[in-house]
Amino acid sequence: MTALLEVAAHLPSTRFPIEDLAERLGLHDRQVRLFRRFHGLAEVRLAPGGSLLDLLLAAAARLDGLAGNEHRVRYVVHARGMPVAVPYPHNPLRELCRALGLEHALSFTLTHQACATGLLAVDAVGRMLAADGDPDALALVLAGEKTYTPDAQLVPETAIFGEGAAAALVSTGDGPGRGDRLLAYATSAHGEFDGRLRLDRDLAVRFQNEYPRLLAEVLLAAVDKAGLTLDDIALLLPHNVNAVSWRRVCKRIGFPVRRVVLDNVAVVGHSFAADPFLNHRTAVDGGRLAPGDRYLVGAAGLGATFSAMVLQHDPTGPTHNSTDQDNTDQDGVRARGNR
Amino acid sequence: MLTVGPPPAMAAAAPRLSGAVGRVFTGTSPTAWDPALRPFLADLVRPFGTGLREDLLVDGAGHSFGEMAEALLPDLVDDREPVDLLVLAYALHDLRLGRSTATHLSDRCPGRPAAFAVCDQGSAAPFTAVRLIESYFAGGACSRAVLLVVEQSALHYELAAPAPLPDRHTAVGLRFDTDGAPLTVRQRTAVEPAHVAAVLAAEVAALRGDRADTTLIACARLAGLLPPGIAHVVAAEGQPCTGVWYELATGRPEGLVLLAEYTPEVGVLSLSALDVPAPARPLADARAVAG
Repeated sequence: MTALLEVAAHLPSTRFPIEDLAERLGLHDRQVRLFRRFHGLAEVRLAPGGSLLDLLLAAAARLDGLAGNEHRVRYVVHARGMPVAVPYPHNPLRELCRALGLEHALSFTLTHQACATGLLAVDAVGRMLAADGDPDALALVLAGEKTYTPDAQLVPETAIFGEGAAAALVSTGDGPGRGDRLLAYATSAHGEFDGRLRLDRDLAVRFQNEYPRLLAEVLLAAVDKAGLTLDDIALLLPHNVNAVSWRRVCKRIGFPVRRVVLDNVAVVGHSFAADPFLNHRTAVDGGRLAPGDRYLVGAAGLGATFSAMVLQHDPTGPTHNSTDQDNTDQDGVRARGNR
Repeated sequence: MLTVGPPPAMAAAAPRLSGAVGRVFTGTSPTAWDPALRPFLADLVRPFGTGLREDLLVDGAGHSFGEMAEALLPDLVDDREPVDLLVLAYALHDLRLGRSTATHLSDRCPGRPAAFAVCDQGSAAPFTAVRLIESYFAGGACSRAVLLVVEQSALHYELAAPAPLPDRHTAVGLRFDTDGAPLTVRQRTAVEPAHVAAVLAAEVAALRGDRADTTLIACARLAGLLPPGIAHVVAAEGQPCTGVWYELATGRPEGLVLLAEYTPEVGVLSLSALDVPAPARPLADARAVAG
């Protein structure tokens, strides 16, 4: 049984009001106002001058369960939205392994599902651990990226990217204390939306029109695969593209918006594949998940991939032993929670 | 859509190699003249202070993973054979930098499979990809998969550190079904260069057993380190990520076929064992096209 044993989040300390990013993003005043008033975005967390390695290390450093358990980590995986992050042959993931004493682990990047890759990584490493058959083995999943080029800064009329990062320890095996159990995963590829939304207006419109239906399909498929109905779902952890798109999806599937963790949308930015983990941390820190709660996670990636996952909360795992630290930013300021 | 529950305690099925095709591509992709290439590359290298290769940008060089891999798909699966999973594996990045090519290829593949890519692992990536395919077969939700191993030779910026570079554009496609040649993968981590020969010899001995009909296909890095007394083929140095797979796809070996790849930048020794009963045709529907 795949389980999220612990999730840690790192939010860069620098907050940029979206108005301050207008020039960088090539946005007119009207577009900025639209993002703020209609999409519900206010500010974005960025780490100017920091590297991808810095982001990932900062997230991993907040895991209580990693230190002392390095020998148990078999896989270190970067769940990455952008197909390319650094010039070849730079390999920040390998540098991270060296820095954290994980050189013995098999490290690799999963990508090409854009911002839906985080859910893929959890499912994939869970399967690799299960195949190995060692119930004590762990996998470290990392997510978070630099906004280094226009494709990694803006989804037109939809989202502004941020540089939040996350780290998750994934375990396998049954029984209490193993973390939040993965009940089902659904993913659907829609390569017909491959293209550059910034340049192809028709493609962008088609994608926006189809997005609610396609995301709704995987959300419902994952719930069904778990043998549940939406009434059984306590909480929905979204990706942080914007608030209005989630209201549309919720209306379509009949799920109450108040049970969607939208707190980070306004103040973090869309942090690529890290969003589900950031919102997991927020939900746990805000006390919004009770023991045994089943919750749904949804994500969509440009290109396009739509994915959803159902998990069951296990409060006896170490996920909940360090809530005072994990969602704290570099200045010691607690990130926005659900309280 | 791929929907799965938790991984099973016991594997429901194992992937078997049922088709393979390899192709070397000549020419240059139109993407090499895409106006978006230069600014994207400039953004990519700026934090690292690496210079762009203006000569390649002006003349046009390189190939697109999507174009190469898409050309192989009709030789691997036909329209009546829906695929559940498509995996792309590579070491050096694509010419089309921002595209999720695996997802693009899903749209060109029967069944519009779930799709993703494995990278940042050098030449170990295709082996990891096979393990991932294996893990999805084990759950029973996947019964047909395609692995596409790709590399293109153009690097439009100065190399910051020594690293393998292809000297040609190559794509290899492997098809997995529940029927075909049994294939397994093993990966040893933290293997130092000084110990490679000994680890390789031990792994080959374990995989080979007493089989006399064994052929070892090894990457160029392992030339000179191969255990004695075993027939072998050494892949081309100019195909650092695709080489052993290209030899498998185009060489049509029979008997017990072992693939060996060493990736020192990540400390991984990868091996694969493929049992192709002779005198049966080695790989159903295998086709090789070069040129």
